[in-house]
Amino acid sequence: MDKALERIPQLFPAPYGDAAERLLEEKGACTEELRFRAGVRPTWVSGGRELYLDPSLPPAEPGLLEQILRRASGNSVYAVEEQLRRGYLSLPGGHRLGLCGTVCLREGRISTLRQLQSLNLRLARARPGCADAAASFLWANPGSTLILGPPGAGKTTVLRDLVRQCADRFGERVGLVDERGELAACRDGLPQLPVGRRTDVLTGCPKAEGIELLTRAMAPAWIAVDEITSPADVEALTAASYCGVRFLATAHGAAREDLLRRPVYRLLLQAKLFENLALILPDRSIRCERIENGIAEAGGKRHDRGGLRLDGDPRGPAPAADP
Amino acid sequence: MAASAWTGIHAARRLRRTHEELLDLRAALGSMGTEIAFAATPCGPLCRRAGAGRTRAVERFFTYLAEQSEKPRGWGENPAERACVAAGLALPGPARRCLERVFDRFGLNDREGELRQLQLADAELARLLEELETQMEGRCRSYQVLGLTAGAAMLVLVL
Repeated sequence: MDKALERIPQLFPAPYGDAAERLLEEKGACTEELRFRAGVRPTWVSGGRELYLDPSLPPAEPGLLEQILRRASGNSVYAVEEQLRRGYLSLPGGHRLGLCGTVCLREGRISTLRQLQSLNLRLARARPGCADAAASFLWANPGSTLILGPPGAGKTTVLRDLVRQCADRFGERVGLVDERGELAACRDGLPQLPVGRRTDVLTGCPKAEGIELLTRAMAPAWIAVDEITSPADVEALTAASYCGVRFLATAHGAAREDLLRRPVYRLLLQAKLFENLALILPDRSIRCERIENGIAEAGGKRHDRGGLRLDGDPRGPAPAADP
Repeated sequence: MAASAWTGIHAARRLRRTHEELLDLRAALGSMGTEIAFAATPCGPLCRRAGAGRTRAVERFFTYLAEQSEKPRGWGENPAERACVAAGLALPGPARRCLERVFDRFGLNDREGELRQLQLADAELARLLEELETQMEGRCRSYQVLGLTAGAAMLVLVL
């Protein structure tokens, strides 16, 4: 079994843990998610398809979901309260446990989740080389790059590899704001996933504060953030752009028109923070485009993720990937 | 004769030890509350820190709990009772029940719930300590006197 997945079966009590272990041993490479819903048999997701983990398993009971949460939090739910408020739990190795249940409000704010109804374990895995196409495009067209894709398309994986290539292949200093501990999955200060030798990782910090902190303290040439979601993030990016920093970021969207629809992304385009757009297509290939006047140029070049050498690169060929 | 005298003295010592352990437990629970009010320390390290530098039995009690909480399935049923036995803690019944209430669901509540539970335990232990302190001197003296008197009586009978 993949080393990063070794501890996953321990999260689930028997017989679910045994079934998860069998699945990860046999199909670990293509497993994207494990889903548990109260009253339903557990499922696993691969390539967008949801299948039963084991049809002979009994349906999950609400108590089971609480047990999983208890195990995932190291038997200390109070210690992960802040994350529970946001509806997920970051696990060692960069995996993420999404939670659904009854929300408890206190003074109008989400206080915690009770009576869990479903859990979604998203497995994090580094795929070195998956961003080769975007990295080569970036080498030919240096500038801030926005990675756009629908949920589950692999934006975070592409961003992680792009950060690694920027740091290792292009020799740039990268600051990484890893708000949910998914990108680098640092443990005791050591990144568990490859993000490059010249990358400074700020874990658990909200993006807006993280961008400001990194700009001030680490003088990065690039700042990478996952999922721009609020106007505060856009403001922080704008402020950092005045310091000459470039960005690698991800955003939710199936097509570039989605950028114009969502107010936060419209703000991004108006601020002209990004010069390149890397669009993840349904077949998981990446299409890279230049963004001119805030709108991506039509007819951008489409590349497979398997790697690409662009012809006519004004700076010569991109440096080779590290052995 | 010597045995009955020793039994009386030992009972008095045991009572003093119980007092010391209760004091230490109260302090340890207080430190747990302080820690989780400011930091998101998981159960294992939290229990280890709470027990560090306390009397040997209290330290063993918290080390046992820390080890159990670090197991994937958690500390299971009646963790405090098992920890008391493993550590050889000489606690009265109400104190054991108070610890059971704290640790039975510890780690499953939100931070506010845990803090409230620790506050209740602190109040309960304070009450038990107060009761013990008011009776302790008298009871210790009684045990010692009873032991010595029984020893002396037996000596007289033998002679």
